[in-house]
Amino acid sequence: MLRSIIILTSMMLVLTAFVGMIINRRNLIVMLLCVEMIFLSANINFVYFSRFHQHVHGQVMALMIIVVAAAESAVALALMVLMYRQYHTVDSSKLVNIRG
Amino acid sequence: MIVPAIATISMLMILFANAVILLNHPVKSVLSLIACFLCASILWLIFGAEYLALVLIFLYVGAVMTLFLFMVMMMNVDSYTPDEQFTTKFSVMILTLTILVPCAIYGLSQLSNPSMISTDIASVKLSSKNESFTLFSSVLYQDYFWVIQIVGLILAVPIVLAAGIVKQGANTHVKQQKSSEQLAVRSNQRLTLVDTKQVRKKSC
Amino acid sequence: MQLIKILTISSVCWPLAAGLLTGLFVKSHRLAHRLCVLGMLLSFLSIIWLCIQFMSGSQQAIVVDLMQWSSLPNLNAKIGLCFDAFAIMMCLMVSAVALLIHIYSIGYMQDDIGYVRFFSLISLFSFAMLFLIATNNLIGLFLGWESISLFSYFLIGFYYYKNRAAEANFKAFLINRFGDCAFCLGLALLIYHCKSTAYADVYANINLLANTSLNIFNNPVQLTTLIGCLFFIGAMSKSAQIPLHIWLPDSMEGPTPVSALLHAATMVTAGVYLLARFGSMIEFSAGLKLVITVIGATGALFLGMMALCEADIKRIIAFSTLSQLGYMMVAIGLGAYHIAIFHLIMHAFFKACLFMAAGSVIVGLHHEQNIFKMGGLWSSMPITGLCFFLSALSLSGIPPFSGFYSKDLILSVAQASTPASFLGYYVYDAILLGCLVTPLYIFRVYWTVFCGPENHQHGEVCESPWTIRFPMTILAILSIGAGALTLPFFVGPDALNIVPALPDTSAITRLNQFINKIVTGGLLIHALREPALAFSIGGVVLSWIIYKRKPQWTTRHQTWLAIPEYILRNQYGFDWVYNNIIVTFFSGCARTCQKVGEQYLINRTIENRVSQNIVIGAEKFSRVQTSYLNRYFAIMSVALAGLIGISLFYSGIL
Repeated sequence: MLRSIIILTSMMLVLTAFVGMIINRRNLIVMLLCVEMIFLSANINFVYFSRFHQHVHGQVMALMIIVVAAAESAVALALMVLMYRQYHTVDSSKLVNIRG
Repeated sequence: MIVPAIATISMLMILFANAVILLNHPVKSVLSLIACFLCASILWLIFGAEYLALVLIFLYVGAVMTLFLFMVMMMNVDSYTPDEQFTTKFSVMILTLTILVPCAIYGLSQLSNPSMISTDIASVKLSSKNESFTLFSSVLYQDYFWVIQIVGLILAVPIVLAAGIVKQGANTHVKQQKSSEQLAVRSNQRLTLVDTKQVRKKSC
Repeated sequence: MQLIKILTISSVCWPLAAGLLTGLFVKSHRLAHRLCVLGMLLSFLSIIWLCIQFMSGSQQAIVVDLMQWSSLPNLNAKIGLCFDAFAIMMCLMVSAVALLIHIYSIGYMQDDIGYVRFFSLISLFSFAMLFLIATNNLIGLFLGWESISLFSYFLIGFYYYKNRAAEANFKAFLINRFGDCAFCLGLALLIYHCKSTAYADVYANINLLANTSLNIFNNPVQLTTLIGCLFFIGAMSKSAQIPLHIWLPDSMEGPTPVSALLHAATMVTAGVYLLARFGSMIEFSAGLKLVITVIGATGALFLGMMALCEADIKRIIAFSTLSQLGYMMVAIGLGAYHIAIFHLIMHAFFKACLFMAAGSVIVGLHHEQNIFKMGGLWSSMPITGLCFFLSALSLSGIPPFSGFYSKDLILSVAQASTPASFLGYYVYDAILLGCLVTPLYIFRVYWTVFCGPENHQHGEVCESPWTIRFPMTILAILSIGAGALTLPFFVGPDALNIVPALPDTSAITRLNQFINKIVTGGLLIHALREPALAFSIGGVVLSWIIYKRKPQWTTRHQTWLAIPEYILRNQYGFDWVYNNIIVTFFSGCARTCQKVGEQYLINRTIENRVSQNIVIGAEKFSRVQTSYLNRYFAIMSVALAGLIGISLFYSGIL
């Protein structure tokens, strides 16, 4: 029962993030937030199953994911600052130079 | 007792997650995500992963999300509008969900199959907090010592790089219109238009 | 032992080092020629030292193993150097001539744009030639053989921007390819049957090779004959023997020092060297020896005659080279290998000198090569004229000069040992007549260029600088005295040891005894009794009469001279045959292939359709590239869902 709840929760989180990605056309920041949500759902699973299997290694994995996610968001934010300086916006629909 | 609590918190989390994508202002989105993270950390506390729960709050909510908030406020991003061609996008979304959701439901139904349950849920019976914490730290610094060092490096390098990228500055060769400079132009910087007939008359 | 090893390596490798260094790094002219001359000088000195060591020691061959080339179970392949009497003699000649030509080039190539390139190439060529001579195995022989072809190619095409030079070096390269192909086959057979690449093992196995035969079109052919034939074809292309000689006159498009070094003194003698080196193998096959003799004799007479109608001074000397190479081949074919080598070395001296004198004239007249636009140069270029005169006398075989000794020995040997058949008489008569023709054409040049009326429009002509005069003078001295000085090494009971591993047959012993007899009895006295000397002197006198005393003679007899002149000018039609049969055939094939294969098949059928479809497809496909991140993400998520579906399906859950 508990397991079902956790898995359903994480799955709903992922799906919400996907939907957010797809319906959101403009704002890069919201896209980044969605990515963070995907990371979170993975982490929830890791932590829960480390508990479930009485094994602490899953938590170590979750820690590493947090670290990598932090690094990723740092770089993404830096790029966004650059983009903002260049175009004065963070609208992803402005980045159309490679359109075929 | 513990199951309804977890269920409630999960519901709250999904609610906040939906708020992230549905609210039309980025600041509100970021705040909802912070709320979502808080719910997750409560869940982890219940599961006995206190260290991670604290890391999530301190490192993630305290540092990364605050950074996001700063960014959003600094950049003064206007409220976002959904995709103009929403219908086509919506169809793609529906397609995806129709594949993913049945998969999820099927997976869940398989999980409730008693054959797959080995040792049910030691979970609910929470162990003594002290023990879990020491176990975690000992594993972290014995089995995963070098891994942790490398992960630390992985964190350090991108942050330095990010700082470098931002410091290096924007590419000035790109031609663009700067409305603020256009507005701030003074009269002596403008092109003067002269009526040549008038000038000729004066000189004569 | 250690000193010897260092000496042998340094005698070969200094030119290599100098050439590479110059070619890769040097920009300044002065540094380039200093480096290359220094490298050549060091090499020359090491070879002299080696020679002294060899003479003072037990006269055993100095063998140095450098490295193991490969160690296959059935093949012992080592790279090494071997200085036996033959190699030392050749190396001494090559390095001396190369050194003098390096010095000569300083003056000749002055102010040329390719100065540094020239010195680098000529140094590298000297290395290749020395390596070819000094190596002690077949692989080294192959490397040297191919690299002299390569450097010859580079040097003939030195003025690559001139069309004629580019064509000439292409021609030379193609014909050398043909010969090298046969040479490679011979090498392969030799290595396969001897299971070793060292000369020593080859010599040890020669009897075995003679007893083995190979079926060719159901005829058993002795292996020695087969390999000898293949080597002779290789030698024919490199030493310009009759059907394959056509590249040598054209190769005069290169600078004059190149003609002097490569196409007179060293590279073209590589074929003679090869045949002498494997003389022990050729000795087994009488038929092959006869073929070599006949081809050589034909070349000696008829190719020399072409010089009579040529106006270009360098081409005249080139035809003369062809004729002299014919003499060497005759000596090889008659089994007098050491006499062939003797003539080779003497020829290198006087022919290099002739080329240098010609080059000096060419420089003095601002690159005028037509002898009828020269004339009367004796007063303004006395040293050049004297050098030309002396070496021309040497070439003609006039007694005190070095050419006399070698040429007269060849003629005596021919008289003594040509078979008493039609071919035997033909060979002897051809080379005897060659003795008449040689002075005729070379003194034709002399009388026309240095004496006679002035025909050039260059006003005051002055003598060349010392860098040109000095090597020329040295070579002139050598072409006077070298014959008499070195004669004792080539005759006498030990002379047969020059050619390695010669079998002890009665014919060879008899030949050597005959040579000893005439030399001890006085070569000059012998010569006076023979027609050869009379022919040579007669040739000189005749040319004096025709070209100096009565220059109107040729114009008076124009009518009946027209036919032989036509034949000689067209060089017996060899070029015509090659152009109209072989070249036409192959270019026809190439054109057909180009039309069918390239234009029709590839261009029209494949290329056009493929490129059109690619363009159309790309246009259609590029619409996918909307550059909207969320659309990309939608596609990604569909793909992800698909992947999950597939994995679930194959794991049996779905």
